Amino acid sequence: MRDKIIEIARSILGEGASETTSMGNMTSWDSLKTLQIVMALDEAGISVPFERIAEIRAVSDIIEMAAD
Amino acid sequence: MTIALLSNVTVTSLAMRLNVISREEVYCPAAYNTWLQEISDPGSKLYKSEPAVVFILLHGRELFGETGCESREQAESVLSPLAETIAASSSRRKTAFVVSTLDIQVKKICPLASRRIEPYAAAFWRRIMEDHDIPLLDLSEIAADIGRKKFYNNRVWYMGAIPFSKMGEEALAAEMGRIWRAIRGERKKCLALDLDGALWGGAIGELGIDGIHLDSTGSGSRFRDFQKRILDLKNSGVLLAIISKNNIEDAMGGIRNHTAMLLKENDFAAIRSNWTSKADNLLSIASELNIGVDSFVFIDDSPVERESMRIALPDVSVPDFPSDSAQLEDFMIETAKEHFLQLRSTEEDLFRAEHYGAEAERREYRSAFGSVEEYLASLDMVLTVENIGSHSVSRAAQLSQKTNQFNLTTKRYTEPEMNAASEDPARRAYIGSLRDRFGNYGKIALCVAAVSGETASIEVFLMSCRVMGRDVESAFLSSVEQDLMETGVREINAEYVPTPKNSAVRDFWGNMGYERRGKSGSATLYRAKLAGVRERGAVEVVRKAEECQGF
Repeated sequence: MRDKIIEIARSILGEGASETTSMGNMTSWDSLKTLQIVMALDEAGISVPFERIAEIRAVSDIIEMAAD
Repeated sequence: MTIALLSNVTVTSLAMRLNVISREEVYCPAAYNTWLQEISDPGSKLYKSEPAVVFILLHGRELFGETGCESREQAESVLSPLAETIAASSSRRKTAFVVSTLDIQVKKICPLASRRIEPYAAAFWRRIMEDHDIPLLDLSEIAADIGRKKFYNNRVWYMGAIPFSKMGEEALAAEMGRIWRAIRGERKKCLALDLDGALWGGAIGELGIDGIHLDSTGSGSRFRDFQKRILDLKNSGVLLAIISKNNIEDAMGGIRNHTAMLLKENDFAAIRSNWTSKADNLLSIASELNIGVDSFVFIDDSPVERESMRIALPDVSVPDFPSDSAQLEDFMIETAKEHFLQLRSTEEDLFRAEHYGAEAERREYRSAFGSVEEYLASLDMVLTVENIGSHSVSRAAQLSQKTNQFNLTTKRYTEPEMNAASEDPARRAYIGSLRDRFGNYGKIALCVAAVSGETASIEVFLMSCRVMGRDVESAFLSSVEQDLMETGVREINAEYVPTPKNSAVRDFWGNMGYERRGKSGSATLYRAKLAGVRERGAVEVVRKAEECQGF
């Protein structure tokens, strides 16, 4: 699951993305990219609870939310 | 070039996907739901971006606001003004407007026996668009094919007003990419088909005419349904050819005598059934029909034949063939979308099939004459030359996009660019149509010249390869020169820009008496002083100063 999430994040944010990538250290990561990540996660069957989508700030957040 | 994507919902993500697929800049307004203002205001950023196409993609439910569809009258009163604004904006400009159909799901909870407005509203929208001859991006069909549960995504809708799922956006972007290629005139010209395993099931050489699978009902109808879609393509101007490994007698026996054979012998512009390689056969068809190898789509059920074709002629498009023959009809629908999509049929597309029938008659007729001159004189050719206007812009742009062989400069024009050329007071744009005793070729020659004082410079001079070898080019040039002379031009500059495909016209300007003046880059430059009217060979020329409106 963790690897799949990182792979999806890379497909949207670029090859440079990793588990430590966040909106703080990657300026091109905007809210649209977050939604694109959610769309790709949904298609892969990885669910982030709707209430928490707005809290996504980093790749590690997604890994944590998907595990809950 | 720029593609514009307008919507009443968030399509920024979709625009990014379209940008990747088309490799073109995509203009998408920053402000939400401003599509109507953008198309209504002539000074809008949309029009400043000079788009080559405007996609208007609408989320049906959002057009009706909070209350949704209430009654048929209300639905019509909401949709009519929107549709009329689109139609008016589209007709004012030469830019292609492609508008989505509406998929409006009935969300309201109601008894089974209720009047449902949503499907009525969607059908109403489609009808107005069709009445205005507007090309449609069939969003509701895509949604139906994928299934709404997979096409939409409620989560990103509530988070960011994006209605579609990743899969939905990818399907929409792919469709827009195909439409974009159609607008750029990248439509293929010829569908080359295998017989055994494609137009019918089984090998006719082994099973005989009564043993092959082909029927109008039951399991054999999968091949007949496949043929139905191929016939659709033929009727839209695509040339059909057969390339089969069979004895010619077996192949022709099947084509001529099988009762369930929908495609007839004269539906095919060329038939090759022999034991030489399919690539060689395709080359010989290309030369007979006078079209490039890259205009072919090759259909064969054998993976070995497909691979051999890909290796021998990499420019031929070779789609994968379905392993399940029950999918044949859907496969042809996909192939048509991918390679033969067109926005609307031009007059010439409809002529084309007729033309190749007439061509066979011409060949037979030709054999009765001793000299070429006698033959050409007997054809009663009439070339009509007119200035490009509203009803010929589309065909003129198509000619510039598709003509490779008889094309001196290979300058391509989109429809808006061609329209600009035709309206530019400093340019003269001509289009020529040819008919002879056997039929009508439609519009087949194009010339645009920039005029400055007494000097004209030829931007583009081309002719469809279908009419090569009949002195039509000199008659067309003569008419262009005469018109330019009457507007005060005394000298014409012309050039030949070589490409891998236009070597046949390398010496054209020289043969027409133009004086060679050296080179500029790869181009060879020519000049001619205008003195009198050129010899027109066997072609009678009719000039029309103003094009007649309508057909």
